[in-house]
Amino acid sequence: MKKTFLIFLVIFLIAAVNVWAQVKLEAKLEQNKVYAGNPIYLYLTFRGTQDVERPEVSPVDGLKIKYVGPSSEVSIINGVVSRSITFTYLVIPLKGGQFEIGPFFAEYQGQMFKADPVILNSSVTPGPLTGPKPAYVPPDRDEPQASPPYVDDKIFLTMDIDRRVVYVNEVVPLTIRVYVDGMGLRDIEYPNYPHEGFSTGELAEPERRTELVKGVNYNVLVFKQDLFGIKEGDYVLGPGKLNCKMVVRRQPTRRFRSSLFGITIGDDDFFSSRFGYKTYPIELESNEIPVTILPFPEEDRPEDFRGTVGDFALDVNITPKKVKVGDPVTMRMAIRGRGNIDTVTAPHLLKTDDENIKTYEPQVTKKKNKKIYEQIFIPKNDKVKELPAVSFSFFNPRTRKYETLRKGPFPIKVMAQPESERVVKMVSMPGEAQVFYPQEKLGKDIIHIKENIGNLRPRGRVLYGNWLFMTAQLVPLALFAFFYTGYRKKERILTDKSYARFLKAPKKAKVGLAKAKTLLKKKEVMPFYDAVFKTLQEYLANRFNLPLGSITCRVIEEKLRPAGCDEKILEMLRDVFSRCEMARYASSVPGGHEAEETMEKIKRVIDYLEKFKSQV
Amino acid sequence: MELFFKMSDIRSRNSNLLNKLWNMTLIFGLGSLVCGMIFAAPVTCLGQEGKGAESVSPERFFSRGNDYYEKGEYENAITEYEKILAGGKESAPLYYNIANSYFKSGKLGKAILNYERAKCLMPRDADLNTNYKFAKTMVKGKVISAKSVWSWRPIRMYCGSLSVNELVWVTSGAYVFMIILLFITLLRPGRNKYFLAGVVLLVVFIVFNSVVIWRKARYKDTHAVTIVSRADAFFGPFDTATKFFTLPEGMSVTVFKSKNGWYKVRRADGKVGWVNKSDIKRL
Repeated sequence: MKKTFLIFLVIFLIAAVNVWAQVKLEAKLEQNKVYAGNPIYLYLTFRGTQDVERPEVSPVDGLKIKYVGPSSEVSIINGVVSRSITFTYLVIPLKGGQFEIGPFFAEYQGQMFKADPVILNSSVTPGPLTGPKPAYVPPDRDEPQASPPYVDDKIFLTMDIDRRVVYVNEVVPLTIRVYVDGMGLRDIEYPNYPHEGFSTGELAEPERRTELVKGVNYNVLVFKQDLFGIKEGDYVLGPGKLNCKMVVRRQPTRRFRSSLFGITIGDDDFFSSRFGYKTYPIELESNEIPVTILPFPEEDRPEDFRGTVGDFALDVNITPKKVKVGDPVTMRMAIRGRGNIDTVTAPHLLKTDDENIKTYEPQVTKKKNKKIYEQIFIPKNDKVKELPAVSFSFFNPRTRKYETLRKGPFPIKVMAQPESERVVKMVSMPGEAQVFYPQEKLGKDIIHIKENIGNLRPRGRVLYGNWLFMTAQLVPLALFAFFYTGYRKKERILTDKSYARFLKAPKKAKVGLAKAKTLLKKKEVMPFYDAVFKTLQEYLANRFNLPLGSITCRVIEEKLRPAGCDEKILEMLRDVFSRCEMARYASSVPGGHEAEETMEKIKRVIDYLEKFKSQV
Repeated sequence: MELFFKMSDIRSRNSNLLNKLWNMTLIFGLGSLVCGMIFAAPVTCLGQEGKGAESVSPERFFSRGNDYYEKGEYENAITEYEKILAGGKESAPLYYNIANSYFKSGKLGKAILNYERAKCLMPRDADLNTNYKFAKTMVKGKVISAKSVWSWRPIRMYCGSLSVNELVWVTSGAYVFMIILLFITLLRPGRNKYFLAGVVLLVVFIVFNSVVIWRKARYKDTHAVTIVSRADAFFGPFDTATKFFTLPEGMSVTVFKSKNGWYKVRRADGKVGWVNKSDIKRL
């Protein structure tokens, strides 16, 4: 027992060592020589198992390394199962030179596995890139901007804002730019970025342009968006992120020409041809921007200030200026200017408690950089001489002061309504003509009786209760059933050869017998027997789906006897066959009486076999 | 000797057969329509049966009724109109005129009852619908509206705009069309998918229509209108039972039980009570 256990233990240990021996980590580059800026794949393959963690790849100065994903493989060769998992990384050399990536380490079941480093030779592309490296130069702004990441890359993302210190509700434009040189981009998504403390407007369609930065002509995609602070405090915008696919040549057989490339957003191709190019998914990340949002100053804050920020102008006019009592007067107040138009509220009426005027809620129309309020007033009597003045206050971030615009009061002339002109007033939408209709009193009653009696029918009679109608409903179904049966039969005739022969057997036999009968009447004995034999042979061949030449009495007997055929019939069949053979091959031909008897027998045989159909 | 069929012969025969079958389908389709019309003719004529013998009388009664109505003698008009009903005949305009006469004579309940009878026969008539709605506004007391079973508007409109007989015709047409599609499916194996989908849709449509027809037919038996100025509903089918609620004249109720001269009815708000048979009238 102990001996057996020891043997098993030794086998197990040998197997375990063998398994350990099979597990190994390999590192391989897609190619070892590449132009700077051209991405290639790095494969880290773990052979012998798939249950391992992703090996970490140490960053290398001058290379951008991004993990793409795993792929596993199982192969069976000569009954031996081998498993492996490959972790793929995207490596982009940012400059020329020789780079060593690795070594790589991975842990499996407590044991550390190592792969040797790989060497990547990157050469700088000729042309513009041989000159000074592209460097990002921030635009001239009030305050210095932080350098964006990947400044010396051939592709990078930047984000900047007009002002770093803004007031609550103040609109500030944000710009996100994608710089690309010497490669193409596709499937570019809209950028996104954290924007705590800010509300964002709609991201506009990106603009395409070219920018010369330190002697390098970059293709630039510019995204613009308006932001406004919603809560005072210090915040950080960004970093902005943008996902896209980088397109590079598979085999860089010739120098890059940036004029080949362009940038599109959406599904449009931007290559003259895709042939020979490869795409790599990439996520670009921009710099962050610290921004301070200031509250509105308390000093000199007007009472009617409702949080509007910007620089605006107010225009007011009224129509009509001469009305009768009860007629509406429309006051049109247009606010236009630069700033956060969403924060603009209706101008404030300086006198709202006038009992002689009925005031309605203003209707607002919003346009680009403009809001129009239309307010309706109805003078209740002819004492009204003017409409109240209006005021509108806002905070101007440029001057950092509150401003109040006042208009009015607006003089109007109100005339008394004559008693005879009492009308119903239909107040139309502002801007449309006022329509007046005299008040009309409509009568109410039922509509007059019908002149014609219509289609008289027995009381309570319904169509579905009519047996004739319901029977008629069965007709289409019956027709379909009939047609379907016929169709299936025809189809079977066309596809089932034996069935087709089976069906035509009696018809052919009938024709043959008629011919034999005619010959018998003419006393042509030899042709008669020929006809009888041919008819019988054809009938039996079709009946049993046999080749014509194989029909003999013995063959037919073998088929009929097991099926329980009457012996008398078999006897008749034998007799007919023998007489036919005698007449055809022997010198003696059976005479007239025998011929008639043969005729009678063959008829009976065929009749019997037709009735016997179902049993064979 | 013809031992075997040649494939070319089979193909050629197959093609000929398909052509023949296609022609047969067309003939069948037309035949079905003709057949339907042939059968429909006697069915339609059933509505006219005996018209030759009595054609003068109902129209004369109707004409007299109209004359009385225009003179403002509404009771006489009703008498004339109801002679036609007594003769075992009905028509939508007849019910409409009776309803108008009742309305004019101040019998709102019977007016609404007859408007509803007319609506069963000509549901899309604008005059009828206007008068019916107007009459319903005259019902005193709290207006209680029941939520329709067919709450989806298109279905409600479809169900409400067709009479029972019209629905039967539509269903019958769909049924014939379904059989024709089955024929086509049989003969055009390559296009089965679409035709079978059509067949399935038609089956669903037919089933749906059948349900609607059943409900409409049932509605006539279960729907009733209060014809007295005030009908009391009790907790039990006897006079000494406690009064539960009251039905104003013209209010519609659903009848679902009958016992000893009493109807068990349900009001639109779900309240159930026993009402004397003489107080309400079924369609």
